[in-house]
Amino acid sequence: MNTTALLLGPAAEIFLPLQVPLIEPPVPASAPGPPEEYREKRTDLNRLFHFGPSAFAWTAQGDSMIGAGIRSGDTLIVDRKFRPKIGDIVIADVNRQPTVKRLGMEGDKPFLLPENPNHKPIPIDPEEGTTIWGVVTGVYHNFRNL
Amino acid sequence: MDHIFALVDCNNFYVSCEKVFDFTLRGRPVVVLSPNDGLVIARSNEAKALGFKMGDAVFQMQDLIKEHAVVVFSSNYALYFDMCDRVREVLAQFTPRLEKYSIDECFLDLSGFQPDELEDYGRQIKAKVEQWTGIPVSVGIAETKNLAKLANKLAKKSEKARGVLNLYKSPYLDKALAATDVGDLWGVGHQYEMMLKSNGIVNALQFRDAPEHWVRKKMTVMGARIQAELRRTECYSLEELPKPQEMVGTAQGFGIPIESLDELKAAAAAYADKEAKKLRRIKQCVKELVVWVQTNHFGRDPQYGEKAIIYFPVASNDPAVLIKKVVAAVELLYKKGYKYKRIGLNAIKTEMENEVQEHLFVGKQTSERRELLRVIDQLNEVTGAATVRMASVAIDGRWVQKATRQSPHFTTRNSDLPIARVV
Repeated sequence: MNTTALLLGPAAEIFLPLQVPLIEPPVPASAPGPPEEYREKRTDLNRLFHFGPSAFAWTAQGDSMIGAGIRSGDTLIVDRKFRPKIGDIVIADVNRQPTVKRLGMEGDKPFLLPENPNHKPIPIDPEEGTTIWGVVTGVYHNFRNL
Repeated sequence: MDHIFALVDCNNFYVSCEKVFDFTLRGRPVVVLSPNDGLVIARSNEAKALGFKMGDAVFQMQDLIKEHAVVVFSSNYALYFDMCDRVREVLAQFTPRLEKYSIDECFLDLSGFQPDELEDYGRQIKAKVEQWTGIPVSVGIAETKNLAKLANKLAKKSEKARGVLNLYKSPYLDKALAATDVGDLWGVGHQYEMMLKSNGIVNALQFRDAPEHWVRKKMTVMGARIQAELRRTECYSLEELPKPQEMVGTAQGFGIPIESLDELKAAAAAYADKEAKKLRRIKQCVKELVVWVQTNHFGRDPQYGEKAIIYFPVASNDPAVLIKKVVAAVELLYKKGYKYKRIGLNAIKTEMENEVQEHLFVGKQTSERRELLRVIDQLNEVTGAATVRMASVAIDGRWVQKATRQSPHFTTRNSDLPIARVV
């Protein structure tokens, strides 16, 4: 599979499958031609990353997770199907705002941790817990302004 | 074979969709309005508790809205349709036999499961849909569709049920029927409800036990079927295939009444374009189209309503053709001095796109033209409705439906992705 071809594809939106090529015009019966049954669907990002009904895209705004490789403006792939575990990067409800943090422990206490020395960890109340919207499974960074 | 039906429906679906991405809505009264921002079509539980009813005219609820800081949304169908697809994809994991009953309801065929597994399975369905999509649902399970619907309603109301109720072969069926108002039965509308109650039948149990011939006489065979289903006899099977569209119509009110012919023609062009698009989507062409204009029923202004029928020599779903004819029709129907509130279009006769009859003097739509329309439809699907459109179709204009408080198209437009604070 040619990865560059994937990213250089036509200016299709990220979350739409790239077009399936049209069938070749019919070839006269006397010449067998290249066997159509070997044609495969072009790889698209939905299938590459197994996105299903539980996968959503969010836009990251802010730089508190720069240590994890998330830059402001990046597109986050967030999947709701995974049960969050310690070490996961998640979207959590912090003061009624969707916020990106790493789920972690400091000693025996659970925390929502940033990945930027300029930002503070947020303790999780062991009684109330915290609402996790989904687990960040991947990030897309755009190197060239489209 | 005896079937087992589950009805899975989304709780307060449109509001729930909004709540998935806006965490500030939790615990607050929220309503969603109809496409012209006129009526309430969805309410959160908190809004229901304040007294908001389905179909309430929002202009009459302004005081209540201000007093309780009710959050009001214009409808965002792009979002609701996509969330609906996601819910259905999760449900399809539980059974291949699924009926897409409406945007927020599905019937599932759970035949073959053991009776003592059903409630657990129902809870698994509920848990998975909620985790994967964020949409809370209720599940009702029984031998027939009517009973499954009844179980679903009770599952919502009863705290003990916690959103899932299995009435299949249940010894509590009579109790459940007694707890259900006869007006809440599927298929029993307001008229029938009044008739039954005036005859002393107030709950579903009494309805089930009423004499069959009396029910059949008063409510025709439809009523008899509802009764039979309450008696665990299946009358409605799972419909897996979509029903063929019988009539394709576009009828919407204007944000502000229109008085001038020019504005009315512009609106007509926009609606004709919409109608053409609906037809193209289901691969049909219109042969006979009813067009009507109407002043505001509720206003105190002079009333006028008139209709015309357009006959197409060759059935069409080409926006250029429909716009031309509809605008011409509206010009004929227009009478000066009235405040128009609504234009309606109804395709009363259609033909399948690939079976359109030719006409001696009028050419059929060419394949190039069809291809062009298909490309335009695809483009608009990605970038937003009406991005590419016929020159005569106006999207501005004071009459355009308001949708002033629509949430972003979170899952269908790359420019509208929800924002996560990385702080």
